[in-house]
Amino acid sequence: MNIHVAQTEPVIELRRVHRFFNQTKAVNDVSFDVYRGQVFGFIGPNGAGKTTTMRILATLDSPSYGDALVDGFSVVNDPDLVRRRLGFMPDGSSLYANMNCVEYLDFFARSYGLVGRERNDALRRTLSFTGLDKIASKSITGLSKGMRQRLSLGRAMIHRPSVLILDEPANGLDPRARIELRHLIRQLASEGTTVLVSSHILTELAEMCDQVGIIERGKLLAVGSVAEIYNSMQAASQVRMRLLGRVEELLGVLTTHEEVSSVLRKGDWIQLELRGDDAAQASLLRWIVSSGFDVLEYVSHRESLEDVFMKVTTGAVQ
Amino acid sequence: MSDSALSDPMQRSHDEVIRIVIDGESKWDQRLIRGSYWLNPILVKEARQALKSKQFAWTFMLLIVFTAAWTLFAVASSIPDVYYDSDGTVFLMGYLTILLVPTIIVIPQVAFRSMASELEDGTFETLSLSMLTPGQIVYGKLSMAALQLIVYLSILAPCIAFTYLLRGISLGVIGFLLVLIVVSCMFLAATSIMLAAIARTRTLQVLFSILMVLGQLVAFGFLFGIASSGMSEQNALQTPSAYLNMFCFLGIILSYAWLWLRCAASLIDMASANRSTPVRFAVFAVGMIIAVGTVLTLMNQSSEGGSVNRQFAANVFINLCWFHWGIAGAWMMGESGIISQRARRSLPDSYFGRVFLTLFNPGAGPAYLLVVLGFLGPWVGYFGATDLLAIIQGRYSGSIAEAYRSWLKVLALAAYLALYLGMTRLLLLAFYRNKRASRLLEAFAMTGVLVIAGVFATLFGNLAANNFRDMYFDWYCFLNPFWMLSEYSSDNTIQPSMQDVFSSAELFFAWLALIISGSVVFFINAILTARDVMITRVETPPRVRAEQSKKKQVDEVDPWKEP
Ligand SMILES: Nc1ncnc2c1ncn2[C@@H]1O[C@H](COP(=O)(O)OP(=O)(O)O)[C@@H](O)[C@H]1O
Ligand SMILES: [Mg+2]
Repeated sequence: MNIHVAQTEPVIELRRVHRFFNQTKAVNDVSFDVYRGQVFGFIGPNGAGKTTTMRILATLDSPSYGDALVDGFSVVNDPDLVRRRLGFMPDGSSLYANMNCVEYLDFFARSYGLVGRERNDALRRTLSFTGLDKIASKSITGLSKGMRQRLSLGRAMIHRPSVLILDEPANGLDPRARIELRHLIRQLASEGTTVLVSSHILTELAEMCDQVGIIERGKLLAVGSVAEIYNSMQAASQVRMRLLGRVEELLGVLTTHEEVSSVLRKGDWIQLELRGDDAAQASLLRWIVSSGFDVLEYVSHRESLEDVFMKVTTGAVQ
Repeated sequence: MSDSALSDPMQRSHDEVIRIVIDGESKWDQRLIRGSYWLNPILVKEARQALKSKQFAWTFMLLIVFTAAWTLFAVASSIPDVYYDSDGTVFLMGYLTILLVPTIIVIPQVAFRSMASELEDGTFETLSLSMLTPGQIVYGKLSMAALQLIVYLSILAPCIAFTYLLRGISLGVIGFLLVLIVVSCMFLAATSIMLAAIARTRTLQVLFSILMVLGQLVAFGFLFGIASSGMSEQNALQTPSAYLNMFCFLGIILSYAWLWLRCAASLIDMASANRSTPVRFAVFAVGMIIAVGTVLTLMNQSSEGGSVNRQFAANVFINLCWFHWGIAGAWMMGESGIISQRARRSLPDSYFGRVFLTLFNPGAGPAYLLVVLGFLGPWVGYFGATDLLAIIQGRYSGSIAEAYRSWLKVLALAAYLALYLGMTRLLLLAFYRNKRASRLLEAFAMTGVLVIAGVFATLFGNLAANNFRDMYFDWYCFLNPFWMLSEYSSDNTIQPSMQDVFSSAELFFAWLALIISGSVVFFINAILTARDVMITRVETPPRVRAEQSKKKQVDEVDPWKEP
């Protein structure tokens, strides 16, 4: 998904945001921009600082240092103005008991000052967008996880915010509900809403996000489109080849080769990991063949998105 | 998500169902929904929840059952002469007791749970992200308590009217008792809303729930006592001054309810907002209400022919005022003087504002000055005015010692505020290097510890000085405010002459030591406050101001204009 939107002023702007809980650096110098109509994916393992960053952006927490702007308004100095243009769907959102869906949405419509025709329109639009219209008068207590997430999303968007922040919205959803959620998010973005969505699974976000940021232990490790990150990581290739004899000899040569990071022998097979792009691979193969080795089979496989993610992050938690 | 489960049993078209769900089915539903646009959204939400909650249904039913049962029982037991005898009081007593249970016990507990569950379930965060102000949230909770009160009262209203028909009971007494119950219920509900806003941890919640139940039982007993004595001594309630006193008492209770709600609203407000100034205004206003109420009562006494009893004022109402400022001040000493950019936009900027309103700025420094001056102000004004009047009219000489005594007492009490609160503030400044965080609880505890330390140090020192046999008041005993005050007022029965202003030399030296140490601490604090007072207002950026004025448009939408 390319970025076609005119990039004038960023709608979300994080400027060196820090948040410390005593010794824990939950967010440590995070800066990025998100432009209008973009979906920004915020990816990191559990405890990376995604929720903390999103809560700061939603004005529910304050940065220890730095600032974040929504539409040019600071979350520190003008939280009330930020709140007006922002919808936040927290992780594991809790809903009220003894209410049905439409009453729940009605309450929040009124809380945003929507009355009369504005309220009716907001309710109608939200119910049909989230697909809750068929169960509008059903009690919240009996809703499935997917429906609860939809209701929570409906609440977050009832006042037509220009920015939506969704904290792990796909958590606990079945595959079908995940896909539906992805469609809803893309639709919101196409209508001009800027969406910041987090997940601890890269592949889940990869295809719907215009940009992703990878965070671990409070540090932003990489920002950009998925393709950019993939390329900049110089994804390694796993190569397996079967030789007709002289296996030991080639093994010895390859260990000294500077683009080869690990070599392994399994019977007739040599398994190696090769850094560098396709051209590097082609030239290695050409050299092997021209040196007189008989290659019977050659299989190469580029690292997947998940592998890149594993590589960017270290897996350490604090 | 399958459609089979969602098929519409009424076979209505989809749009029709949605329209009904949003607008309501009948004409009355629609009117109700439209009318409710004017109400606090929290009230609408909680009323809807209550209609579906088991707790409300049970309370409602039990109230009806008990009311009916009591009526039958009371009628049956007085059957032969129900039309002749004046049994109204027995009937009424029973109804009031039945009414006390939901109003004094149930409603405040429900208000506490409603606020506490909001905070603990995480629903509060989504609520605070909406455009409801913290004030709207707490008043929404209180108005739900009021709505329940109205429902419960209306169940009993016909019965209570019936007791009036039975005679033996005056309309004034019935009215007074009902007003008392309403005020108590609202006060307890406001208190529980504030306690729930403070209790953000499980332990505190449990602790406060227990305290609440104890307080409610005390209130129940108190109201029961008033109700029974009010019925047996109906004549005592007939004099105008009895009504005036009750009016003052209820006024003070209500003003505290208002103060609690202000505190609750500040507790749930954003950290960067100016949370102190509104509370500071409320504390000031309540202090003034107590003082002005007292002065009005005293003036009423003198106009009814009695002499203005300043001794009485000094011993009761000044103490009340002193506790008010002392307890409020103890919390305020924990305010940090760091004011966010956002809060600085709300500081006074005009010349008048900078002279008079700086004491309401956030921070312990301005709070300290406000506490001491706010306590001292009304009494100095009142005593000064009356004494000046007496001097002009030439009738001052007779009560000169009495006049001195009230002056000296007020100064002594102000010196206690200056001394103990000032010490708290200095110790907090020394202890905590991180001055950004507010430490209200620490400040309150610290003041308590300091006063208790003063009390025990004097008691122990005094015992030690007298070989652990006896205790004699000595000058240093001023550190124990309660001993000092009891020593001071121990001989107020005799009409003192000039040399009897102090009953002993020790008391005089204690007074002097108190005033000197209070003044020293006051001046140190005043100098330290200069820095806080220098913080000036920052202008609101034009873009922010333009945005803020947009909010009005949303409010101005006319909800009655329906398609
Ligand atoms: N209120 C808090 N107090 C102390 N530590 C916290 C608090 N909130 C988050 N943390 C810590 O900050 C780190 C980041 O947490 P979080 O933002 O929730 O991560 P994520 O949402 O990416 O899983 C974690 O180490 C967590 O323990
Ligand atoms: Mg999280």
